[in-house]
Amino acid sequence: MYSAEITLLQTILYLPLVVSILIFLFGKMFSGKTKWVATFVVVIEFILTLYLWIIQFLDGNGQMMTNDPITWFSVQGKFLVTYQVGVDGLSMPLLFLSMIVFLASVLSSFYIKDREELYYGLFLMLMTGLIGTFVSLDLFVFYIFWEVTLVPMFFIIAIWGGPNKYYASFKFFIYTHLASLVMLIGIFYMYINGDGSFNMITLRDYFATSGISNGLIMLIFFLVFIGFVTKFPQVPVHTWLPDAHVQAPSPGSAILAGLLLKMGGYGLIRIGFWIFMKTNFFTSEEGKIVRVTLLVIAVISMFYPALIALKQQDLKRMIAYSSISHMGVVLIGLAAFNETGFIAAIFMMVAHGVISPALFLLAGIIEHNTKNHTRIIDKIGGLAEKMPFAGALFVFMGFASAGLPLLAGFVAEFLAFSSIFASDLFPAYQGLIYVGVLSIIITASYYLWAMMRVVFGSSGEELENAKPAKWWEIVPIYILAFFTLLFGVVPGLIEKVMDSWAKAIF
Amino acid sequence: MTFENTLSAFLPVYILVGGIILLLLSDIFVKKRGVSFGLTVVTLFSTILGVYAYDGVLPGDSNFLFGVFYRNFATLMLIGSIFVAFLIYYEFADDWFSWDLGVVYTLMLLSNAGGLLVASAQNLIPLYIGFELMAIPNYGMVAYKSKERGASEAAMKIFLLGALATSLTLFGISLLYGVTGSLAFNTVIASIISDTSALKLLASVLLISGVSFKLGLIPFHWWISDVYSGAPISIVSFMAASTKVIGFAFAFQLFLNAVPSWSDSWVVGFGFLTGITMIIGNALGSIQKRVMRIMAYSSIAQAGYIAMTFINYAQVSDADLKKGALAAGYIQLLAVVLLKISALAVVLMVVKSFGDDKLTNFTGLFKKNVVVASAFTFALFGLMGIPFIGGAGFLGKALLISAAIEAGTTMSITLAFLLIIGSAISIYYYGILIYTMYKEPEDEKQLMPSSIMIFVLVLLVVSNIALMLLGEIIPFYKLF
Repeated sequence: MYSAEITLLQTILYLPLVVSILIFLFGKMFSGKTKWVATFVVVIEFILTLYLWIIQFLDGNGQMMTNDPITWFSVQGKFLVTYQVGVDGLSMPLLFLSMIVFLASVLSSFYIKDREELYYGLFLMLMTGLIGTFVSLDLFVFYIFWEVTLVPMFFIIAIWGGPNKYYASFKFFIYTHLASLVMLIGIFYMYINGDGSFNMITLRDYFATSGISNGLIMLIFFLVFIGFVTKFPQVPVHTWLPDAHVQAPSPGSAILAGLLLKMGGYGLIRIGFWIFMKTNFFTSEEGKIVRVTLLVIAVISMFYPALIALKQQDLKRMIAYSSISHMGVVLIGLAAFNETGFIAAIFMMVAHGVISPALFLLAGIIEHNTKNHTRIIDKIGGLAEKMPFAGALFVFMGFASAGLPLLAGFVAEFLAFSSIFASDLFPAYQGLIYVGVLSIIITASYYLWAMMRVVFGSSGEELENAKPAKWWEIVPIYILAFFTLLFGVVPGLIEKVMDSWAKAIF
Repeated sequence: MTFENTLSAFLPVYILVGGIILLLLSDIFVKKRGVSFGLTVVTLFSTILGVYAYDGVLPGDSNFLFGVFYRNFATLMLIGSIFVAFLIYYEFADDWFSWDLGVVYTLMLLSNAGGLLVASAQNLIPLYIGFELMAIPNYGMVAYKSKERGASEAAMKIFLLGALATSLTLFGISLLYGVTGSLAFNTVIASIISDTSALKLLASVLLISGVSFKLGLIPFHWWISDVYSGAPISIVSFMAASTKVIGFAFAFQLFLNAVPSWSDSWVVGFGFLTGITMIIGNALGSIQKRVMRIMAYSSIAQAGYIAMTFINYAQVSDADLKKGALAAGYIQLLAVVLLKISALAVVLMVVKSFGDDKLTNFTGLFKKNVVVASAFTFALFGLMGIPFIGGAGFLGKALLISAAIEAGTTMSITLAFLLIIGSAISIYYYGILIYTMYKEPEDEKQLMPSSIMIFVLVLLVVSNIALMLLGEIIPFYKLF
């Protein structure tokens, strides 16, 4: 039945939606104050999530905490859609990550003056969509939340975006919608070969004993994989990401990089892997095909976008390509298919989720302070002189992204590579794996080169009138930097629940 | 077949005819628009109640069946007509002919009476007669603004092509009679044909062409965009709602209830038409410049989605799954009717306020009128098939895909993939409308306020959300 924790989770899930509807209805009366309302809601959410973590997961137990499924509707007696929410060692770190990123983004959105009510209404709606994706345990409900996030993001890019927002917003919408519909077909395959229900836990138990054929699982896996990998995104379905990131307003880019990409990773682990974990699919021949495919895609996506990032002139574009490159590490961990690999995958998502939003927000600060609002790397030299705090943070976050030890990114990359070397794919596919590892060098080189030019280069005309960053510009980055350092120095804080979760499923 | 039985079974038709007589009288003696409008709405409401007065067949007669199929389609048609009655009242408010609103309402009620016959028939003769009774008043309604060039042109087009489609269908029916020797559904189903497969194929081709004309499947679609851009918008909404419902009821009756055993000869045809309709319809929609033409191609594409039901239904053998396939098509039809009326209602308001349906007239609509723009956004997201924000639009599409995978044949799964590709293309043209609405307004012109339209829009949005949310209360699984 409903325990106190579930009520807490429901509150976390629906509070932003309720406030968002109130803002849509009555926002006009409080024009100019909605940003404080939104900030207040996000802070409350952050505290509630932290409290949920403390009462439920502090002991490092990553077990599922959930309610009994409630029937929502059914068609022809079948097509049973249930309502069930829950968190475990997989979703709780991502839920917490959402709160960090939303806190950072809501503060950095303070520069938005144009149609403020609409912006914060959409912002909070996006929040419910994202949280819902992470906590719903029914495939149909999951899909609803998954698609609901598209709409506010589309508006955020289309209304508050850069000069080419029209193209970017439509590309984003069409790409991800098409991919989600492919995923929907995969979901229906699961439902039809299941026992008439969409509930993930029921399906997981059912597949354990139903004797579902490996070929069918492979088909289902690839169908849902197409949906998730497009959101993720990996080569060759990555082309929407640089456009969307560059055109979106900086808080939008931060959410896009910090959380929307994580939806893909989460979905892949939860629906692609977790549901079929009780069958012995992933150790079979077909399972090996799937894992090798993941490995190949991961290595290509780590290597090729890193090369593209090297030649980018636009700062945001470079960070966007580095995101694709980093998400490849998640797939490497999943391809390894061992406990360490899964921990690495989740940890990488959290680490990238705190690092890349900070870089996007920094790019946004630079853009606001340059004369012509430019982000071209060659024109914005001398950041250390004009904006010392921003410059220092840029160096810090750049190193974090490149994988400097003691920062969050390093832990994840280290775990991922050690897992792939320990897996059964290692001797056979070692060439590929070496290429993947080497791509880290390219990552380091484009960050170093960019830092050299942006932070320490000779100061050009663009930054002449730059003022030190305002508090609401710089505090979000401090928050993200704090967690980058914290998760890097004490990875056990979040690693424990992932560890116990991964142990339980293997 | 006693008198009481017949009376209660055909009660809705009697109510409609009574309403028509009252309307004509009031046109002569009262001459007030409000009275005509009120009479129409009351008649339609009581007709809905009348639909539920009788259940089953008449004793000693097998030409009509007043079962779930009849009730579902009749109710949906009548609900659609009620909303359309509001739109007609709004559109013809201040024109020179507004005094004889009774004429257009009379035609609408007559059309509904035909629809009732279509939904209840179990014999090809009443089925055909009902269909014609439904279609002919439509031509008159399109021609209602006879002094406008576009409307006359549209009326001419729909009349000629409608007659062509009817003659094709009729020829198909007569061949069907020649092959099976019967016109009643139950004997047509039972008759086994072995040596007349060429005739059977010819009859199927003729029936498919005739029905596709009416439903607007590609390549029989080109009259739709002309009629949509020429005819009065409230009449278009009648065609997109009630006429479309009965068009599908007719097609389902003909193919799924009368000749399901011929499915080997018609499934391929429908599969092909459905596939190209979903892709080409959406592709053509994305290159249109006028909003009414976008709406026309959206209607074509949506008809393509719903027509997947033919394949889903024919390719499963289990009776429950067949019912599920039909329910999927019905729910999509229901969602499209509600969403299409609300979209067309907003287009109607814009056209009436700003003169025409150019895309620029929608610029900044969100700032000009939040309620109208929100309803339009909602309807467009629904037609795209976005869950929750689009109400039941997503549910229908999801059920169609589910039914296709349940059928599991190569054709049905191919169609499911074509549906998602078409759906992705459609995001572009619906998205352009949304994008335009949320831009900053370029002029100071304001939308003409109309409390009646706001009421209709809010009602439509609420009923659509309710359809999505109240799955347990509306028992989908008992639909058919």
